[in-house]
Amino acid sequence: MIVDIRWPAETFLMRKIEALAGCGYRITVLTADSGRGGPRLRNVRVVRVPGGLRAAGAALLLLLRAAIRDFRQAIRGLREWVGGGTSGLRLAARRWAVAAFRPDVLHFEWTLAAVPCLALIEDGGVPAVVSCRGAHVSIAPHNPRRQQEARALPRIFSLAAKVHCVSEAIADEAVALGMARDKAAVIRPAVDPDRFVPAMGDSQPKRLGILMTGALIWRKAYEFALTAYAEACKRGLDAELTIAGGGGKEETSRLLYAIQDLGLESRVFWKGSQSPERILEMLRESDVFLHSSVSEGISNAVLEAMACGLPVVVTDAGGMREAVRDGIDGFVVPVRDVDAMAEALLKLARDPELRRRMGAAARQRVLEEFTLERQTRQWRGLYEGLVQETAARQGHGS
Amino acid sequence: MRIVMVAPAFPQTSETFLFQKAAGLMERGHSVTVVCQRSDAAQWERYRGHPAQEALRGAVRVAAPARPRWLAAMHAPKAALRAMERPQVAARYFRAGLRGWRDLYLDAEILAAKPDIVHFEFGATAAGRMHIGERLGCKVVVSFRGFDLNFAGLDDPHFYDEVWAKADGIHCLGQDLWRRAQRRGCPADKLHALIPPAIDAEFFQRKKERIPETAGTRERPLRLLSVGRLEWKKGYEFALEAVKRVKDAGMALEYRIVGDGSYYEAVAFARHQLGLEQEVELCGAMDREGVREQLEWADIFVHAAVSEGFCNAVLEAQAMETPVVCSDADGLPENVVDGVTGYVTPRRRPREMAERILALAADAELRLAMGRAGRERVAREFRLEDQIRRFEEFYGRVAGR
Repeated sequence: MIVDIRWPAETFLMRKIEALAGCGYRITVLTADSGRGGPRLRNVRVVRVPGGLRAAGAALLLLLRAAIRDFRQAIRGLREWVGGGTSGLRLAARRWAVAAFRPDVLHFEWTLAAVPCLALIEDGGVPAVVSCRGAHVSIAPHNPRRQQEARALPRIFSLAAKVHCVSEAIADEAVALGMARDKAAVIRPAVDPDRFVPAMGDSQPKRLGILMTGALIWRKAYEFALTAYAEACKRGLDAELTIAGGGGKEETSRLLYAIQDLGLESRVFWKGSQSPERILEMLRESDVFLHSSVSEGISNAVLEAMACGLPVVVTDAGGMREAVRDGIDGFVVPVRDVDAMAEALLKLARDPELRRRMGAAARQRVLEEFTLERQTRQWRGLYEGLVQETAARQGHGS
Repeated sequence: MRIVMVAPAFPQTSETFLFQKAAGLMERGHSVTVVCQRSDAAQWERYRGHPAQEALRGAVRVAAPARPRWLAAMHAPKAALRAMERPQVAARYFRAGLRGWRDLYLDAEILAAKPDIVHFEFGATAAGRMHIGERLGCKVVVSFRGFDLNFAGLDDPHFYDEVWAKADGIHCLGQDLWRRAQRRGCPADKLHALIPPAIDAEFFQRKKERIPETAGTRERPLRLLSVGRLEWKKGYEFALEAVKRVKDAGMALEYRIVGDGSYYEAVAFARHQLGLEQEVELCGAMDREGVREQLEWADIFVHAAVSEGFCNAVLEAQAMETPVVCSDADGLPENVVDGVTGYVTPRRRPREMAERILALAADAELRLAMGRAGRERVAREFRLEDQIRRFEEFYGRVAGR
């Protein structure tokens, strides 16, 4: 059972769910999104527990189902509701869902989504996996105003049966925040290398194209990338920069202003948010991929670019170094180091052979380490291991 | 003269200049009405005790809301009553058809004030309302203060066309904004005035005299200060990078950031990532008195904005004899005299900024001299009375056309 994600979920989660369902896993998705959106998938059941007034209706249905299967959990949930009001109901609804559908494993795909469910993880009788994907362990704990959430982290880590980390770097950060090293299961993100395929042959010679994709949010630090690009142009770079990604009003005006302020209107093109199909086309039309995050788990966007055979210039944020080998698949530059980023872009721009070599290495790297198939195997190993452990423990108990 | 000032919200602590301007014009005998969308009781509290507070409270009219529709429907009768105070003018609106009805609803408060001059204090709010001059038979002045030229309507090249065509006068805070206005289509021969903001130099005055102190040791760390909302425009990430370089040069320092905003988490994260948690304090927002005390404390004022109309905080720092190291965004080079009252460095370049901070940190006499020069300049060129007089004179020129 996957607890508290959006539905339809982010692309990378959808891929994971589809792959596991394809292996015969039965998956229950618990989501607070109301409405009917999202695809129907075989072996996937979506249970909606919306917030507000509608929560009560949905929760009562769950209570009925739970009461039939596990009376004690049903009563415990009722007590939580009575004792805790709205937040108690939130917890109770999840408890009843667990009692009703009896999953073998609970998975919290977002670290802090586990905070309201701590009691359930503790005494629900189902082993829980909690994911650390980035911001929730890299950024939130350093915000003085989110210390309450940060203080919950050690408890989440100690209650979870396993803590999934998207990179070794994120695992290190989790350890610094109180996770026992042996709890960590590093499963890196993955792409489908049969979908993300390099463009065949050389198209007509054209101006060099640099591409950036990803939501316009501050931690992606587009302003640094633009500053670096402007610096590289000053040193003789002849290339166009295309940016695909949508965002809120502030980040959008920040991007547009920076483009204008740096005098780049004629060579930087912002395309807004684009469909996955269009992103794939853009990747196949580009020559170099640029990524400027100040904080990152491992970027799916970069993996997609590598799968398409693009040399990449990335910042040394989070686990990026585990995907990109500096000097082999592209260049890894220090975060916020505009000069180093400019230098890397220039090197790639001046040397077509280097681009070809690095692009090929990047594709190879994905094929070896970041395929969806490999990731699915790792997930199965993790989940099935947990189920066996639980069974063994119960065997001992009886 | 009857003057109507149009602003989104009044009063706002972040826009004290509007309050001071309205009060100043009133004091000089003009009839001033402020038409706004919001007027917050809590904001008025902060002006308690200000001599003009009562008079200004009476001069504020909250315009009928454009949205949501149901609320607009409820305000329509009141707006209609206001409009009927000048039936002939209202008739001009009716002739413009359905659009005219809508305009009349929005303009009712302005119309009822019978203005000689309508002054849109922020350029972005003037777009789409330039019919006011003809219909009310008055002159229209539009101010540009920074963001209205830098961001508003960037995706539409004709966003300000009507303003350039129909406004009777354009006011910009400085030379740089006037150039930006021209780049966005304003004719160079448009009647305009460059009137910089002014500050209350009486209030922002040191209580303790500055003494030349060696700073940067463990016993007496260098004291750096920034004041301004935590927004991307203010470039705090660049300021923190510069401060990191200063620290790496072996300087013991404390850096206080006064302000709050939607980039709080980004600033807090940069502080962590750059290893400055011990040195940097995020103080949150402060009132005028709090800011004054911080300026009394600081050795150097740091301002790394990437976009900035003119910046009152930098003026206040200079009034408090605090040397400034700032970026060259927009109006800042007109605000700080490079090499005299502080240093101006290229925006988005933390290295250059760090070098200037280090130069100032090493030289207590220089800090003192630059601080004094700043005070002198602000007290001479950014006086409230002068600002009011210049607006008065500009209005006279506009009305006399």
